[in-house]
Amino acid sequence: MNHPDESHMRAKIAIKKISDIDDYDHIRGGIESLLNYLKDDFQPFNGGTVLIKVNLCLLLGPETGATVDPRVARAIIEWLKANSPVRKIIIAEADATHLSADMAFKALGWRKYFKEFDSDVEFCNLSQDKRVEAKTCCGRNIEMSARYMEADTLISLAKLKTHSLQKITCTMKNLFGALPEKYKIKYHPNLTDSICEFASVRPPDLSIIDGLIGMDGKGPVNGFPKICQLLIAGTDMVATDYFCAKVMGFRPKSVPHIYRAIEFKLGKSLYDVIGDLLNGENLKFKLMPTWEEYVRKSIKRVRDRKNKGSMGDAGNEIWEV
Amino acid sequence: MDADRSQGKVRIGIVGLGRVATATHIPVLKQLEEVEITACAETNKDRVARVKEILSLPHVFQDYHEMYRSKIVDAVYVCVPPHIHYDATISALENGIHVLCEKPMGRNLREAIEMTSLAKEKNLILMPGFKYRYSETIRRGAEMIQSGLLGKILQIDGAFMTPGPYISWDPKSEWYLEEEQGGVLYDIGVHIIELINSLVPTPITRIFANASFGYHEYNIPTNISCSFNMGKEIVGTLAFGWRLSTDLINISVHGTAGTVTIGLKSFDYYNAGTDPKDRVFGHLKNAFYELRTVVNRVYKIFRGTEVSINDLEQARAFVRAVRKEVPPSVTGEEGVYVHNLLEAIRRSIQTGNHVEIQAA
Repeated sequence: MNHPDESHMRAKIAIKKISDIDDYDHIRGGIESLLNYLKDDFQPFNGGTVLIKVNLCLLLGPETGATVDPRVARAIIEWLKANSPVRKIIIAEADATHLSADMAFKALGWRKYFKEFDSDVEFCNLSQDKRVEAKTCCGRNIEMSARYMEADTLISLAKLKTHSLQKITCTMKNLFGALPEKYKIKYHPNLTDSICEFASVRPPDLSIIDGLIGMDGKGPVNGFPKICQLLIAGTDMVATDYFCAKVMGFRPKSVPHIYRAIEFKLGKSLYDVIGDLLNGENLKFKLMPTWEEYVRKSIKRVRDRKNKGSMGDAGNEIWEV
Repeated sequence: MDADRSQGKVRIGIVGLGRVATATHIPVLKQLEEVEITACAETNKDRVARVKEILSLPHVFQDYHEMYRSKIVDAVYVCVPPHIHYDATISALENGIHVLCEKPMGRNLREAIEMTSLAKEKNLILMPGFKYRYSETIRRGAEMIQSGLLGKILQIDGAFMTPGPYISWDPKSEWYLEEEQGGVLYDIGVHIIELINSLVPTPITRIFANASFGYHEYNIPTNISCSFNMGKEIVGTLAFGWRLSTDLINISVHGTAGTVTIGLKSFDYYNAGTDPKDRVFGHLKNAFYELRTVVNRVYKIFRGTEVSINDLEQARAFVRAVRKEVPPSVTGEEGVYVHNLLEAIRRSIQTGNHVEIQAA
């Protein structure tokens, strides 16, 4: 069957292998290479505001693979300051179900780390910001942070890690985290559509994936750190996630929100890769649900089938890789 | 109020409808036939609106004092953040209500002593929420040690490591990082101390502690290691930490006749002279125990009655104590002992010296 978006042009994805992830100069060089590869597609708005949505949903450092590395954000900021006359740079995160963004900025050392940038770099808790209405791809009106919606350039800085329900968390799952509501967990029963809806209100101008140390196994919280030494970037959020899923060793269309995002026409699934090609190899990320989850899901599947005569919520099956 | 209700159901009230109450205690209490949850108290109206229907809760008071005065509860579970434990417990005891108080029992030693004294004076049950001691492995360990199978105990090593309080826990748990809450010490330090006390009930008399403060801009310990003495003969170590990608309890008790290593789901006995066939038998026993746990868990998932055995056993013990069928399995005095030790560890971290511990 032909894919719905085959007639459209292909997205561009850049990938860079970082030989020494302990050396900041290597990381800065990697970000420079990625942004130079994408310079035809990504140019921040002249004199405008850039908002970088980071993923800091837990009080675990980047060495665990759970949260993004502040050094990657710093490299992006240094590139922006050197190459583009941006007016203001905002590092933003919303409160997660289990953690306030302000606490994460402080406890994980982000505020201290970016102190030398003074007023050039601001921190923003999207949950505390003024709210504006935004329309999702389903036509629903939701409330989002004004600064998030009104930023001239939006960069998503996400993590390369597994997710027990969705298989992967990359750009779109990171954008789901921009929702100002704290109790995002209430969207988990219908997470696939929720991710697509919330990502659709403000697709990023640039998606960067911090794959220096990813998270394998029982992500996005209890997994194992996996050293991947990768930085990935793209200007199409769906294509970027599609490529990341492939790199992680998953069939992209088995990732429920990628499949649904293509249906919603939120982005492309065809792309050209530039940079350090991986020669078709994948990093073989593993999902590692516990036996209890296996039993719970199996029972649910059997009950759903019995009750509805269907396969239940096939979108949330986590076993098919 | 009729506290001695050996016939009818024990009417229980819940103070605080946060995560620990709604995800743990209420589902557990609903499984006990001898219990009726007759009231709850919660100040957060949004939270009440969210959980009242889902959990089919009865009357929810905004103020727990009002609930106490309403005379519709015989006992309460205090499930609010630690800085409210003291007031919620003292007020309940003054109203003649038995209390199960979540750990830590108050903010400091003084509060713990006052709570315990009042419970004693009023002849009411005050049980700190030390749920891990009800796990089967800990009970097996305690029985083995008390039976003398390990000989004379000479050394103990206990560790409790977690990612931190913010994962899978109360969405409002920012208070965990407030300085007065004591960081990891008053979170999981409480548990490892009480577990060691339940296995070897000899008081720790001297302790030295080291800590690291791993969260930038928050002056709370996140990782602690201690060495201690229990009188003259027993020495040991305690280690507990946050920021770790693990969820592990591991206690080894070493005696002149063997060592027992206890986790929440594992149990091992070693002795240099153990016959190989006995070792195999021991491993088979462990495997059987694990298998039984798995089968029980599958059964519960299938029946939709997934509650923690530890919490269930704790609730049973509390209810039976309230009905005066058995003495309380954990006492306020044990809560006081834990606080005394926590304060000694805090002092040792601050001064960098050993601290001698006097009975509180």
